[in-house]
Amino acid sequence: MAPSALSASTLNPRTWVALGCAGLLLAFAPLPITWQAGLLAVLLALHIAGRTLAPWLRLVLAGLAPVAAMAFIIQLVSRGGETVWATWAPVPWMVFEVTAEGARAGVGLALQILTFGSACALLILPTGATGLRYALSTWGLPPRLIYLLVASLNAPAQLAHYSRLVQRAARARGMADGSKPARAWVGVRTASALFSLLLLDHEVRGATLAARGIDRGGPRVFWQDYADSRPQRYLRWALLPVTCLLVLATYTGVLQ
Amino acid sequence: MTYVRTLITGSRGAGKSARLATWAQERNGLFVPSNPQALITGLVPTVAEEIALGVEQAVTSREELHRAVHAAAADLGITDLLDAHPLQLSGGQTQLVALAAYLVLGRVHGQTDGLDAPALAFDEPLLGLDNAMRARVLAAFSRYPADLTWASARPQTDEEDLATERQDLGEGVDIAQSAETPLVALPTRVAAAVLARDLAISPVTPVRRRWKKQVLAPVAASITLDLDPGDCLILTGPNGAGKSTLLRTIAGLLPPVAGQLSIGGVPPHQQDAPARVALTQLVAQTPAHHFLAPTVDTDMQLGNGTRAEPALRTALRDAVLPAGSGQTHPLDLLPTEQHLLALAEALASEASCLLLDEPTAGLDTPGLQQVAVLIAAHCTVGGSAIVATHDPELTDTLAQHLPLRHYRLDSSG
Repeated sequence: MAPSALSASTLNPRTWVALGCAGLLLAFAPLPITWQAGLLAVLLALHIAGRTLAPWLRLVLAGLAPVAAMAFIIQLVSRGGETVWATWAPVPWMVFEVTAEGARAGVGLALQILTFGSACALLILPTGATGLRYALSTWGLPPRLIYLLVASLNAPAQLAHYSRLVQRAARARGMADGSKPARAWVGVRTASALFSLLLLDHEVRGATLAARGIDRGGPRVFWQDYADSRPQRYLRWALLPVTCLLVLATYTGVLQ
Repeated sequence: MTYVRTLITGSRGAGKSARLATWAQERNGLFVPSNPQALITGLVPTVAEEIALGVEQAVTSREELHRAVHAAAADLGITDLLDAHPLQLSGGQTQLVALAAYLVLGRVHGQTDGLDAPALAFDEPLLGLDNAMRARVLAAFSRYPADLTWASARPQTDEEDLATERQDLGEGVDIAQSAETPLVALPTRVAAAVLARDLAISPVTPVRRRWKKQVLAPVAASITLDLDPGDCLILTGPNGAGKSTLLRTIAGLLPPVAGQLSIGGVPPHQQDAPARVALTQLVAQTPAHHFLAPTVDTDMQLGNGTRAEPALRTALRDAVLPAGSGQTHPLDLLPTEQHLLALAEALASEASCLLLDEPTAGLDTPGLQQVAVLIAAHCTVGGSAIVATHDPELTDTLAQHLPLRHYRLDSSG
């Protein structure tokens, strides 16, 4: 996952990571719906500024939106409340009530899922795995933890790479052409091959990375020099206290 | 100071990899397995950063890091790849980048902890490399400032010349069937001539966008070739010239960028899957990327493998694998056996044209002879074959079985 040209040239990876961490903290806090919507808008604006809108949209459509929609529907019909908009009882002992309280809780949960995913994406999409490793190494985190975080956030990209290899093999063997359902069924049939290949290669890759000292402590010189600036440094210092204050304000009811 | 250069040889299953690992362990060195795809970390966006990853702590400044990486890349002739994405390289290029990621350790001066470059043990480091690249790699081996060993199933003269020591591990596992044993009779192939006129190829699959026509830069152009039933074509060319892309295009997996391509009178990329693999069957360079089922027997039945009689499938399996391998996971086989199984599966699919990408990479001499016998058997029953290879021994062995045609692909950008 390569960082975009603009993000690499304008913001230091540490700034992106600080923004992502602030977003994560706020996503976990029980913010009012309007604040959650505002947070999502800010995260969206940051993805636009980092030129990562397209991958963010793919993440939302393929991963976040379905989960958020499911969470919304479950809350909508099962939460209960005083303002009942509709009732449906498919069998006498099973009654679904669509309530205003359920709708509010559903929207809140869906927004929380979207903001959480978008903040996570802010850690990796504009910076790339290299920028993230640089940022965390500069802050002095343990190298093994850094590798774990970077590899975890890079896992979807790796999975996509191996998935392409398996799809290519399936096509070469005459299995994967035709309709989308047929291709999806081939994906199911070849899932075990995908994970076998992934695990075997990762065993080699892990040993290789260990041999090349990825988890070794001590100072490192990175290939790329990331520009930094005084405003960015101030922003990074200010973000954490401001975020903590907002979270505190939420829990103490100031923002309700 | 003189350093040891040890060449380890032996047939399949002789224990070359284990010996290399032990050798590296004894010297506190690094063992580099023969799996370049897995050696690429996937954590960095450029080849330069991939090479730099292992020496980030061995250098004292960014300038020194850049110098070391550029020197290692120049040694292997991959300076032009430094800005490329490591996961978008050809097989040979991937091998070179994987080697550079270790050989760069010998290009770092003033290591912080006072250690010299570590001893290196490479498993089949010359797989899939053209002659020029082989020479560069061996020259880099000779310059490396520490002990170095490598394994080779079929060492060539240049490797033997470089080695100061040689360890021959001899015969490994029993080979199921010798190359001299007559192979089971293959069914006659449907006659389908391959015709390419002014073909331009690209490894990028065009995205379907109705509102925008995508312009693809061809990796090679002006490719013209004819192949009649029974013909065997040896495809050569430097690493990165587009041999694998050409095979994938002929297999119908990529549409041609320009020009005409037909097999049996029809364009392969416009056929549905069963019809396409009845025309051509591609066996990829990395056999591990070919297997899709949990056992050998079920894998042989995938795709058009069901076209073959069960007896033929069993005979082909037993011709290339040890007895009782039917329930083995394909990825648990030795690399040599994986190559042979992939070829046997392609034969079982009864395609008219076989497309083989480096089918003898890492194979010992009996394995190479088996490959030649299988290709010859396919061509004898009316099939054709295009074999992309840098292995002169395969070409010589095939020439003993059937007349060959040659095509050299040069990158035209």
